[in-house]
Amino acid sequence: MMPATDMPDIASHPGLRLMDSTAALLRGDRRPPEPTDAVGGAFLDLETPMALAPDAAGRALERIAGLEAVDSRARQAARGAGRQLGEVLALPDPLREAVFEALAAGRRWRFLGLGIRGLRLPVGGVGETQLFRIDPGAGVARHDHGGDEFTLVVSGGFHDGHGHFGPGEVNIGRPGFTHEPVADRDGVCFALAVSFGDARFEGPIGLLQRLTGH
Amino acid sequence: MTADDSDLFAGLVERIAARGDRAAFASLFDHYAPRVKGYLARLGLDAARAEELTQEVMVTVWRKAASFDRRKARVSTWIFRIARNRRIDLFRRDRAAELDPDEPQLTPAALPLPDAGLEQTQREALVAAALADLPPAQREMVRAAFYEDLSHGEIAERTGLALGTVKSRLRLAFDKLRIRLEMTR
Repeated sequence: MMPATDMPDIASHPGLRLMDSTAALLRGDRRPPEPTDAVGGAFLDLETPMALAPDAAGRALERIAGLEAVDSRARQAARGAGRQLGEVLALPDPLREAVFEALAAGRRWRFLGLGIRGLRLPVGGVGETQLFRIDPGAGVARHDHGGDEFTLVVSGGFHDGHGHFGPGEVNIGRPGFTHEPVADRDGVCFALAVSFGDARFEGPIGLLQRLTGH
Repeated sequence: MTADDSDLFAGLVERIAARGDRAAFASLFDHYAPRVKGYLARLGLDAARAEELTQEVMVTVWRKAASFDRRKARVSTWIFRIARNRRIDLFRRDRAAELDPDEPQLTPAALPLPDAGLEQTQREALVAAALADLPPAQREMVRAAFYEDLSHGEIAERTGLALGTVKSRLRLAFDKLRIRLEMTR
């Protein structure tokens, strides 16, 4: 990923926390089991138990029931909207949960251009956290940025005119820095973006943007 | 933990995976949640945060139950790995990756496992038994390095021992474990 000094305080922004934990999963969740995990397991068995609140197990089960309710509402919403359910299911948690919550709350994928859709995620925090779905070979028109924009590639990849970004990699857009992301041709690109200002498009799209208030 | 207990807990995870058995989850929770909380508190989290994270780990246990394979690991190892990964994601540092590059014989990969012909869970039980037979001073070193993920420098600070002493105790512990585990080949 990029040096820590380039990023704002991740812990303070829910959208950035979501991006960070998704990136961590993409980079290393497939850590192979270490032989010393067996050592860890042995010591866990010997650990001094520390009591939890009396209703802790019940609360865990409630949380699980809540997550499963979100799952099933969102599956229905996704089916109703005719979306490609399989694609969403393939997203890693907790991003997938955030998508399900967005769909269950009635949000829809917005058309953002030919081959490009965006779903705003209700994670809170300043600015906008959005999941983009970009068809193979489709591109986002060249744009500048009203504020910082951090885009994590979740699957697929894109080239933005400056470099190529694949799963787990973060592309940073800043005011004064224009780029033109084009998705790779070999598959759909899902990208999670946290932006602190609007994208500023040039030319006819810029005009459309100003006319429609986007 | 006895082999029978280990089998029992494996059965609980399998019941969760097969049919979302809430009673099985509650039993698993009763045994493991307090130990996971103890582990996280040992790593420095305050009680409230440790409990919050323990809840997240146990919810993950439920959601990942289908990926548990009793031929590949004991439940304790599997839950330890989930808790450890969650802790790494939280603090965004993998200390095991920072182990001294000059001491390759003290890295996780250097620890041999017993006869590959044995079932993984039997091998893990042998590791646990070998650990129990280590002299306490050496066992403490292994626990600090591979359970609490402390660096050699941090272990030296905590114990007041010289860095060289920490390394030589770990080396002795590894030698003993290696001899013990190779005897089972």
